Amino acid sequence: MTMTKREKFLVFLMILVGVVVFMITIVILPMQNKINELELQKIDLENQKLVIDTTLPQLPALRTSQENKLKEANDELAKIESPITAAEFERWMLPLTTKYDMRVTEVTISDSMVAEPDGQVVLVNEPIYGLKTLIQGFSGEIDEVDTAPTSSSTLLKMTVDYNLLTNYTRFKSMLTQIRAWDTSFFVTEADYNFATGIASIKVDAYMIHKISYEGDRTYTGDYQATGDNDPAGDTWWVDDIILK
Amino acid sequence: MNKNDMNLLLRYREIHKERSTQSSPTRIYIAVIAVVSLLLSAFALRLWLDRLSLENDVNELDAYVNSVEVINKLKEVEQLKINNESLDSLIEQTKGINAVFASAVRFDSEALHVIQGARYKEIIFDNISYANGIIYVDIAAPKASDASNYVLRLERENYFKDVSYSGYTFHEEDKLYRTTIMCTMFGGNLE
Repeated sequence: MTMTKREKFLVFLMILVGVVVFMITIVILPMQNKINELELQKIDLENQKLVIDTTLPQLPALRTSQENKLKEANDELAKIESPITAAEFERWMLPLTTKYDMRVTEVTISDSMVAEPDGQVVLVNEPIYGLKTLIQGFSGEIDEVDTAPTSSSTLLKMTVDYNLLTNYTRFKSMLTQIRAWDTSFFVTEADYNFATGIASIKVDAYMIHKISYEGDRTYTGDYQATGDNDPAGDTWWVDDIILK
Repeated sequence: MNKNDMNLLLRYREIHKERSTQSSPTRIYIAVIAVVSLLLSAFALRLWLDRLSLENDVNELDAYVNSVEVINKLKEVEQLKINNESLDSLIEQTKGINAVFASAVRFDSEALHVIQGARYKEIIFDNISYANGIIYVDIAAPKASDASNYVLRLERENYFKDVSYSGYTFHEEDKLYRTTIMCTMFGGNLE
């Protein structure tokens, strides 16, 4: 069987198209797609590597920074007492009432609660009126505005109220001793009645948890508190100041 | 006879020529197909080599990026960043609290000594109390001028931020004037 030229050409064309289509669809296109996919993957990985290469060198500096910040945080936290219980707080106060021979008549201790710090600072500002402003503008004298730092951060606060029978000298000495603690315990209210010899001292004990701190007071053993407001008189220790 | 022979020879040549012209396009077609196939194969080969190279690169990068050591270090960096941010916040807040405490009023016997020191013998203390930064001194004295005198004495001490009172009353039973003097205390680092 002989084919005409036209038939031969058609067969050739079919075979050529078949070969081209086969190569493109079965071999070239899938491979090109795979290459595109790999290129995207490579770009993504290169970006990740870039991030890694810029991030990892920060490691030593970050470690050092954390150490320094931790030290600074511990130093700041150390200025505030660690949380203590009511019984532990008594180990601060009862040695003083014993030392100053005070009769403890009543003690009220609140639960620890979350509170903002209060510095008990009363702001005193001169009244301002129109003419005063003009006068000050002329004289160049301007009233300083009284301010005090505040903080909206919160910590623990326990309020302890001691009622005592004592004399005024001992009352003053006890206040001095509490001041000498120089910690985050503040006398917020105090009262002394000269006619009855009844004193009351209210202390706000601010407390905060620590990261790692070894300097806290320990509360071990038993403590025997005495004190009966003996009128025999004050002894040598009255009014002394023991700094912490 | 010669004439017939000549015709056969011519005929043969014609047929041979025809066959030659017939096989020539077929060869060309085959050659074209072969060349196209070859070109496509070469292109495919190049793509395959590219793919191999890319796969190799990707595997190397993947091995680095996902290595346990690198992942652990990255985790450590992230954790350190979080820790540092937490510590910054902690330090800032604690400093804020300590600033309040540093400026807080510390009531102690020193203020009471000043109050006592400014007193003169006619002034009688009934009661002394302290609350929220202010010392309240309840006094009794025989003269109407004693309250103002005592307040002025306390002011001259320059120990308190403010010293004030809001009048006084005469008590017939003991013939004494009574008043409450308010001494506002300075904070810790505000004096």
